[in-house]
Amino acid sequence: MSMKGWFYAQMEGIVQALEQLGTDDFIFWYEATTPIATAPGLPTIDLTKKYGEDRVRYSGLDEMWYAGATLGAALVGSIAIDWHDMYMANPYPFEIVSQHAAKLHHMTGGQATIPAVWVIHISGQGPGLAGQHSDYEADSWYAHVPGVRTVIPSTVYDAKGLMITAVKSKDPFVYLNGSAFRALSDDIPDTPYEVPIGKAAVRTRGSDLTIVSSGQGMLAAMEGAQKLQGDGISVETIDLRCLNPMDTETLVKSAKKTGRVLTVDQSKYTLCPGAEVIARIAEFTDGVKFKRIAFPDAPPPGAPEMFNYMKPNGTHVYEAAKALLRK
Amino acid sequence: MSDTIEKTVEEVKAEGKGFISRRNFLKGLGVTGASVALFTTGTRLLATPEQEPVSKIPLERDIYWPERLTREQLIEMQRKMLQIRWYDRTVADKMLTEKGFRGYMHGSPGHEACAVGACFALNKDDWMAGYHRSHHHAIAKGANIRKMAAEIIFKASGTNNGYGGSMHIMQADVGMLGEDGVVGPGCCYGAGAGHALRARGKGQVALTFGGDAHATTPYFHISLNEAATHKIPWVYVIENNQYLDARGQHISECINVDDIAIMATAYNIPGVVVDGMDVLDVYNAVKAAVERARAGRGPTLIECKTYRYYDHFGVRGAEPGKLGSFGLGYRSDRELLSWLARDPIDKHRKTLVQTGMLTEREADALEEEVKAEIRDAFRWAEAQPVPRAEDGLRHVFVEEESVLPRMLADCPPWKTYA
Repeated sequence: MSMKGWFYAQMEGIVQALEQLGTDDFIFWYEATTPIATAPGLPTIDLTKKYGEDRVRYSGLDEMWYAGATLGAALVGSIAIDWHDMYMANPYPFEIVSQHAAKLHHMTGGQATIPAVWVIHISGQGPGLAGQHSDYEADSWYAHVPGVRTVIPSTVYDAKGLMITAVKSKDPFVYLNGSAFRALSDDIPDTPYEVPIGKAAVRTRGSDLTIVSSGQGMLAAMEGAQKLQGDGISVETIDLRCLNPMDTETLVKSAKKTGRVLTVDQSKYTLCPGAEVIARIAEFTDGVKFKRIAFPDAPPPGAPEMFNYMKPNGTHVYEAAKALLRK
Repeated sequence: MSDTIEKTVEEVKAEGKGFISRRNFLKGLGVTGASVALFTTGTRLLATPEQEPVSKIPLERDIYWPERLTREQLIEMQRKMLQIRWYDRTVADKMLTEKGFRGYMHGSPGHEACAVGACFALNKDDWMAGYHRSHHHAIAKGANIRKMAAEIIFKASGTNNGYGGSMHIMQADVGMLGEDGVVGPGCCYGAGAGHALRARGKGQVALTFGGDAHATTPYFHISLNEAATHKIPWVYVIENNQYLDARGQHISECINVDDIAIMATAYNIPGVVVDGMDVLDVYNAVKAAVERARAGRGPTLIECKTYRYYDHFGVRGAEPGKLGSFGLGYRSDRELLSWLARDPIDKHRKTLVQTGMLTEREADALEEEVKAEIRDAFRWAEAQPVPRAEDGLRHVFVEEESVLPRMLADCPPWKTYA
């Protein structure tokens, strides 16, 4: 165990996954973030130095290109990573992932395999950047796409474990990389470990109410849960971690226990991951009461006054939970 | 156009540039220049026989590569072109005559030399990505024709087990990356594959085929820019058949240059125009580009001027037993006839016969052999089983046997993934 930052945990995950696979046939394309990670008292991880410039390449601002080049490398059998690190909602990789990477294995009758990970930045945490750079919606986009696994860590432990799972998998992954988590550090294992796909994490156990969130929505969810616990309410907080496949079993069991489900999303209200959570629970339970909070169906405005009013926070979670408990 | 004068000019040009010409090659094989009509008609997009470099960066062709092909290889080129021709003519005739025929095509006839000339320049372990007009690429790269015939009618034993169909034929074990059915980023993943192959250090290259419409998309430009910048071992072969999609818009109305190959100049790489109706011309250029790529000198853009005999899609304007689609509003029959007169299969046959590699009778026999092979392939395909309906749930992931049948009332609520 040692203290590692978010990025260090991810880089360590990549290196350890490749070691476990016993390969250095690895292609890494990056744009804004140079893949060099440091942590106090730990060796520096420099992917370029470790794997060479033929494998670890800077691309121009051409997100479409390196999303596609990542797919090409994977199609010829290399472990390929697209480190897509621009602070914005960016639809370019979406075409490659949804229309090609996600479909080729199926469309070729199981011949094409795509051991690739698109590490896609997901923004939306702060005001001042306005519609394009503050937008948080890639979770809804990718969760809908069959043929790729869409994971979204919210802890340093999961950041590493899901990276190892993604890199080691023979299937394509979208790894949503939340900007709010970059400052996080945690004491996590030095040895490699995997976080399974399709398995949500129960962050707090409780019996009065279930709160379900994912990614950066977890920040508001946990803040709200703490306030509720302060009022003596027993809250079960679930972090989805993996949007597709979604852990229906954990959701349904928790909903059956508490009878009340609140979903929290930083994504837009319409078709946010919480909508899918509620649909699945409603489909397989009777009598559960629901509430969904999310970013309104509007682009994020630039002015802090407007943005902070609209972005779901711990108080919103607390208020919504209280209202749901009164139902 | 006077053939004699044209060739004299060409010879002068060739002398100046150090090219070894096709004509000299044929001369070397004992054929008189006069007997080989390299170009029979003039059209507005007629390529020069000696592959004038279009971009500023030359593609070195001091070797005339077809000279090094064996008799067997030269005949094999003809066989492959015939397979493509009769495969698609068979599909066309079935579409016209067989009610309930499940197959369709974006017809390849006319494009045979582009695919065969280019794929002959590749090794088996080099990779190729195609586009929606895909039958000729698959055959040229060596895909199993029986399985292809089964695939386009969605049989379980097709190349893609019935999951893909005409636009997506893939056979990974002959080096196909798959056919990009959306005129999209096949060039991105072709070049991306080339980048990964170089890192592997085994000297492999990747090649992407595109149509003329590729030049109007962003993928074309970003791939050339990045592949040139990173000196990726990749060759981009554009089959310019001049007409875009179902509307039949002429390429000259969609791009602002005469030759797509000139766009290579912007990326500081070689760009050449070749005669897409001449398999040796295509081979010569692609082989030079492949050698250049293998030597670590980066990508090349090759534009093959060609023509598709059928409509963009399907068999509008075609008749059973007759090659080509006539009476299409967007092009004249006369134009089609002028390209049919330059047919790549006829041309290569003439070369083989005139150089004594095949007799007329042997050339006929080869065609009959191929026709029988194609007939057999489609007969075999028809006898194959269709996929099991529930197999649509399979092959979504490598690491998951099948997804849940969500359309069923009794679908289980969940499954365990890990």
